[in-house]
Amino acid sequence: MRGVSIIGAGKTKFGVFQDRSLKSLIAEAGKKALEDAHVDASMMQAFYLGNFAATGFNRQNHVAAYASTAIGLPNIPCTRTEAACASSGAALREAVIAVGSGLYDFVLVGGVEKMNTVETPRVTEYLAQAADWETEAKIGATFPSMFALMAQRHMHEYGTRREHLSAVAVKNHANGAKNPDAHMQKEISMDKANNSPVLVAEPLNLFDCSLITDGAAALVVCASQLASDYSKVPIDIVGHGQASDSFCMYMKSDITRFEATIAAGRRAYEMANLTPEDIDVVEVHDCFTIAEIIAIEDLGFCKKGQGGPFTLEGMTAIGGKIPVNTSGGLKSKGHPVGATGVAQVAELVLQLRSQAGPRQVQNAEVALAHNLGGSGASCVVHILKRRA
Amino acid sequence: MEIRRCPSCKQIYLPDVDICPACAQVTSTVSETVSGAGKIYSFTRVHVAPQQFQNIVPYYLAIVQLDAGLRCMGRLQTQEGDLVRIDAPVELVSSENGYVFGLK
Repeated sequence: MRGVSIIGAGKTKFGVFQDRSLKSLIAEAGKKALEDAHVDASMMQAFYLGNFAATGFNRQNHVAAYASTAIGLPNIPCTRTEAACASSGAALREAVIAVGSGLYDFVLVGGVEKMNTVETPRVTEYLAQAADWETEAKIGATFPSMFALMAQRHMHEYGTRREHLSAVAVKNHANGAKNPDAHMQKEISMDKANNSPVLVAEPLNLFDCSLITDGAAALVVCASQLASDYSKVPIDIVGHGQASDSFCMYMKSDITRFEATIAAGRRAYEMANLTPEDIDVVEVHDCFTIAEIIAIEDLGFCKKGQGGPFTLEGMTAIGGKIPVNTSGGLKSKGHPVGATGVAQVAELVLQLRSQAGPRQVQNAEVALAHNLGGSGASCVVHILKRRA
Repeated sequence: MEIRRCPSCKQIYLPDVDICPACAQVTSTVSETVSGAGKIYSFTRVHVAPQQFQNIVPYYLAIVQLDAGLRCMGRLQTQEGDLVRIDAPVELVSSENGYVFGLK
């Protein structure tokens, strides 16, 4: 496989956009990525799009070709990937494999979701379709409840406390307040996060949950040997890994860890010949606060069971040992499900180019993106490196 | 409670698994009745729910470790004064439309 690099990144603002359509969002993100890469749409040889549930949210299927028309791409192969919340992480990895194989030199990758078209109970129902209908969703399992079950067990086994969950929310809101594209650009206090009167699925309250967000993101990837012709600072994709795990959460032997994250992380680290100590900045899939705690443990940034205290001590804040979710994460930047994986990488591209403004991590050279699907049945990890 | 067992590798499953995933050959699992007793592996109380569960919020959801040797997810039927906790013993109350357990 030959080297693959990112030469362009684009995204919409994340938020609630009642007056915008699904096609408007992906058209903006796609065109911004092409513009950022200084390439023309006509140069793209394939398009991969991550999207989870346009069928439900937007009454729209066949979404890759739909998005391609909106962006103005030529008559190239357009393929949609769906892996629940890891849909566009999976899209990026397919693009990397396609360019790495030598089949294409230039590929556009996108992710989009427009969720604010229905009321919250309906959103909850569509999201629950990423779980097993017969044995989970049918009895009333929701996504927050799945992660609540994990949180409860993590608390039981490792002594994780309410304030550890809140520390994730407080830190990610502090970062999101510095991100002009974030859905909720607002800091929250520890007291507020600890004492929300709005319970979602105990022990998770409103501030433990990511947001219901509209948004899109896109990347231009190309063969590494061509990248410096288009970008002053090409971002090389030096490692990637994808893995799956038991589809139903009750089948997992241990719900305080994600075997898919551990396997995808190991594959990516091995390919990159790097270890967790080599990583400077990370975006992890914090769909719920407990998910960030488990992710930083599974990816090797702290010891198993210590994700809560590690966060509370400030180790994952900007300026800490290993900054996590500088964008604000899914918690504050927002979580338009199908856009999230690509949006995480778009944030890391900014960090590695030293373009992240007030949330810039000093001397960031190597970054890791972690995108999780469902209750952990899918995971995609990418490791990125600024070309020296 | 009804479960399924693979006649070839002896692995047990919930009733929705009619073909054994562990065996290389297509092997139909066979119905078997086991005790509906177990203990709570983890639990939550759900407050925000899809439309069809709006009338029963808040409700308890649990992963139950069955004495028979497998886990399943079910709702918990509770009464005033019940203390729901990890490792609490439970018993199957109904399996008509998904599993419902009660504290023992």
